Amino acid sequence: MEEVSKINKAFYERYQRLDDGKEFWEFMMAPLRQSIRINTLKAPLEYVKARLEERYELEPIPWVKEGFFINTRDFGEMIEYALGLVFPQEASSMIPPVVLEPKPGELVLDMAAAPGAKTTQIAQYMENEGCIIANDLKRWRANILIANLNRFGVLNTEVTVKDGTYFSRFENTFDKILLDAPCSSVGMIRKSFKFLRDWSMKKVIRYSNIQKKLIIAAYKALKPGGTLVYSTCTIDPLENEEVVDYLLTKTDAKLGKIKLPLKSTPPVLEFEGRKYSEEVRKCLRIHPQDNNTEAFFVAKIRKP
Amino acid sequence: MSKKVKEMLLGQYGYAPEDLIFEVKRSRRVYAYKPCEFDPKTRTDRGVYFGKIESDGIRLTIEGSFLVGPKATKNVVEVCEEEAKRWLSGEDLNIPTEARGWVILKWGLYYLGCGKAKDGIIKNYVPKERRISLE
Repeated sequence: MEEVSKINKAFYERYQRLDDGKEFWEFMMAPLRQSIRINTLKAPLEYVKARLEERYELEPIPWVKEGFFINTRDFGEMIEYALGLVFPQEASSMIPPVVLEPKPGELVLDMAAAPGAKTTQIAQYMENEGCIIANDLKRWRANILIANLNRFGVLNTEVTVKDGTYFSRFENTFDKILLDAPCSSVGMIRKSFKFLRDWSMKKVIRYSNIQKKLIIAAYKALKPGGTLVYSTCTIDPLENEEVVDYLLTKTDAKLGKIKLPLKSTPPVLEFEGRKYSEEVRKCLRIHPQDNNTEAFFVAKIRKP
Repeated sequence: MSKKVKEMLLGQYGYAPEDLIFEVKRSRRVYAYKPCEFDPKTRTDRGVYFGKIESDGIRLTIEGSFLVGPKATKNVVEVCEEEAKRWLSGEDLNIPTEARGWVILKWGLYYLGCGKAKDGIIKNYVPKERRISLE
């Protein structure tokens, strides 16, 4: 805890009001377990798993059948990595595509797609059938996305470089939308302390405003009966419950329950004098100590 | 162009994926994708880098070999694990094969891209950024 406070005092003061448990801070600073997702677009899951098990120890990730914790970080010597059969991906970041449940033949928008881990996971669930529009704001990030889609053998995706709000003009169009929003990335601290050093309240407020614009645009573009999944890898209520509550206030959106075999922390209904709808209880708030993963927040939104 | 690419694939490997659109871009690189009816009304990038048209046929990338290999009826060379590792580290392979010209390499259900067979040697074309280290 002292270490966090030394690096970024404002960060520590804010989030100890959110979770003052010792475990929260211990896991926040502990390195992440390495995990991978197997690419079923190129070879059968059981076959790749069996081949990997000849050389590595795999532990299944309970909430995604293609996901495994693995006892290596050295992908430079892994045949399966070279061939695009595995994607190194953090275990909690595999949750949003699982919640989205894309099906073959659907039209899906991935609004902030780079670097593409979740896009390739969506393509995998769609079995390369149907169409994904994978968007990112920056060309250089879109290029990384394109490289990952290529390596993974994704055939049903078109990449666009636009501000996500551009898609609000396609009203009632997409069957499914993933908005894995740009955020203050508190969850990523376990990957790099850079995110702790760079954190500021000013950034949280800026991201919260961007997220509100994006979620409204995404909801407009969603077909009636469709599903929008909103996710972030941060813990700040301003970027999570506040954004979902804002959508519920401004539109006729409904929240769906998320049932997955994992532990979670109750969503925040009140923070710093701001109160949120009881509906946000249906969201999934994951703190680092819950499943020994990155922090994550996921909301499953339906359009009536 | 899609038709021409499919004809070349049938000639070389005995199989061409029917449901793919092939587009030949600069440097005679072939990209493959599935059609999408939605028009985002802006520039898009699409397609997997599938292969390159050489003077004597199509050289498939690793991704191209995964798309053609499982149903290919000719010019597929099976290798063992040790050969697969050496191949993916960038080495040519000494394998006695009747085949001449572009062949798909296969290790079990893994497809390792294309090499050029001549006089018992398969010349390596695995790009540097896809190679594994053997240390």
